[in-house]
Amino acid sequence: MANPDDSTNASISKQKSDSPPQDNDYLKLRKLLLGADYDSALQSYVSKKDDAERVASVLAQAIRQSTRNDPAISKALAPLINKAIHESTNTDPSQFTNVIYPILGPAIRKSVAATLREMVQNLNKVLEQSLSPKGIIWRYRAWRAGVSYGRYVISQTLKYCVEQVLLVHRETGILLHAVANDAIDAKDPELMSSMLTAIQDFVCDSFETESESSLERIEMGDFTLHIVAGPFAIVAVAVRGTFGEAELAKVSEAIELIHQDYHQALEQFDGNRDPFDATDDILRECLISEELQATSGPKRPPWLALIVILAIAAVLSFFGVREQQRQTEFNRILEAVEQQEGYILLNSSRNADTLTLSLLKDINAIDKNALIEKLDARKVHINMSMQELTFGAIDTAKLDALALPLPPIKIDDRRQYRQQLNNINSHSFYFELNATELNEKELARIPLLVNAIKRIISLSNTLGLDEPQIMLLGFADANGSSGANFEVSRERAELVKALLINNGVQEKYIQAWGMGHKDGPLISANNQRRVSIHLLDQLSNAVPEGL
Amino acid sequence: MLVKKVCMVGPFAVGKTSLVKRFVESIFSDKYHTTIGVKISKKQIELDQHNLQMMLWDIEGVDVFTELKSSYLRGASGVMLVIDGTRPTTIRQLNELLSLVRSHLHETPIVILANKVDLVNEWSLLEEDANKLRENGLTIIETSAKTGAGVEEAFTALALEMLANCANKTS
Repeated sequence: MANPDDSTNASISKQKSDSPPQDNDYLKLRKLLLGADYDSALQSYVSKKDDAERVASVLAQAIRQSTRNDPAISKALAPLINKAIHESTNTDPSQFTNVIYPILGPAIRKSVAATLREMVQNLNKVLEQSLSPKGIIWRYRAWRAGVSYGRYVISQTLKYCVEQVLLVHRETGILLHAVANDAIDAKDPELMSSMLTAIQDFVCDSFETESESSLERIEMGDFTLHIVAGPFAIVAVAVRGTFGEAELAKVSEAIELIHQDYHQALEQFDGNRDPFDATDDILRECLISEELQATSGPKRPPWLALIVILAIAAVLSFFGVREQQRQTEFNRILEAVEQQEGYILLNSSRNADTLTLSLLKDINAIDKNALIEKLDARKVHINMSMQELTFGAIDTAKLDALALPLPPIKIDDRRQYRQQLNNINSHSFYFELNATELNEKELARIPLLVNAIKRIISLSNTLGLDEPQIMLLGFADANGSSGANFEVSRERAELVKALLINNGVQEKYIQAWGMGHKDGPLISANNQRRVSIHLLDQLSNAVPEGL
Repeated sequence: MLVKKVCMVGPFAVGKTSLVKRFVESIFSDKYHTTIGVKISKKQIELDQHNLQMMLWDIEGVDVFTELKSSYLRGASGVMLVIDGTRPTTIRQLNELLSLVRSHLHETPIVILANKVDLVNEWSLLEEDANKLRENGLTIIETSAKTGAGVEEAFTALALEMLANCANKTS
């Protein structure tokens, strides 16, 4: 493979031989001046690589200097940088994410802080303008003038406000693009731009002015339409207030920039406006406004807004504390009811300051009014719905089962065991014809049984007995086939088992059996449809009965 | 979407404003209001998969005291030249207006509307005059702003000619 340096040397030697005598003199002079560095200097001059190195060494400085002298370089570089970022994010988005990640947090915090500050300022301004005498006078004047209050406030608080910016094709009057202030209810900009062109045409025709000249301003009251014309398009800026030369210069810059960037699209415009959507950013830079300088002294802290915020915070705190107190009171009452002898809390619900309790009451427990008095509810109202259980002739064993927890009777554990055993064995749950579900009255007795079972489990443990085994026997009446009766009786027993488990009795203590129809005619059909509970007396088997 | 400027041109009281009102708002009023200067409306139509918005410049009618302001025609992509089929004078003004429009807009499509075709008994536009115009490559459509006859067709015809003209320029 040929060495590129060889070819360079060859061309240099060729130059030497073919050159006229005068060139040889120059060559000699160059050699004399540069000496041994001549060849390397010549090579670096003809080599593109060295060009790149030379440019690279001054590129940063050149860009810095160019930016200082002419801001156009930023605009020239912008598309290149945009493309580079686009390429970079397409190739490896994580790289870009890693770069901006450390900036995002502080930026978001700063933005939130700025938004909050602005919100407080705006709130203050709204309060000052709405509640102050000045605000009321402004409202009256806005009503008199037939304009909206918002628009009147803008006119009074802003030196100027650009409401709308239109980019209009000069020859056809067709609107190329428009932007408007969000606070303004802008009219149809397409008709406005055409009409503006028509007015210009009318003035040109009527007063025989040069067709190249353009209307510069249309004024009506405090409203001015400033028109800045370029060769192919005009920018019309609808301003309320006084617009200065500096602001107009900004509009002129915009139209110049649009002509520079969209020259071809403007010149060859055939009705397609799509290319001009990209002028949005340029036009938005003209959507400017300036507030009137405050006439009185230094800027005051936003007292009104702070007072309102503090007032809202105080009200919220008051209600919050009150709610907290109520909740504490509710919890105290519920705890007291649960611990109250002779009462079982079935359900509770609260609505505002009213607590609704659903209770089961032992016939011997203290009455409702006494309970309410005892609860000493000061900050809440209590609604009680209760079911008082009666079991016919009073039986101590049944009374024990009703009272939750049991009244503190001074008897020994064995006696208590026997009482609970009798209590459990005396339970039966009765079903309606063909039913495998318990009615409400029967369901209400489930908690009593659950409590008795829990009690006897505890007593069995205390007395060192085997764990109790409760048998649920389901029965059916004589109606129906024996298969169907067996099935319905099994379902009844399983239902009671499920209810006990759902109420906290462990499954290992319960066995459920379907017995079908077993009763004789001496037992009524209503009593035949039942589940009866059977528990073996382990105390009798374990020790000689002492009671 | 393409946006095109369309000028309505013609003698006074031939029904230019009524035609625009009929086309844009589908309404007609017997009351006559003379147009001063120009009135601008817009209407969007869909043709041959093109979405076209017509900016309709309803230019004040021409009479002995008012001549056509040529600057209004600047940048127009199509012209509706309206005459009153019941008034022979407007028919006679047609050629004059045609040459005036042509002098400003050389290749712009022009559609001639002979309006008030609902007034059958007073109709005075001769078929041979209409044919002569057609022989010169012009489109002439009989319309009635009152009944709506021919109005949609006329604007559609102009829109098609404008789109064809635009395509020719591009190619």
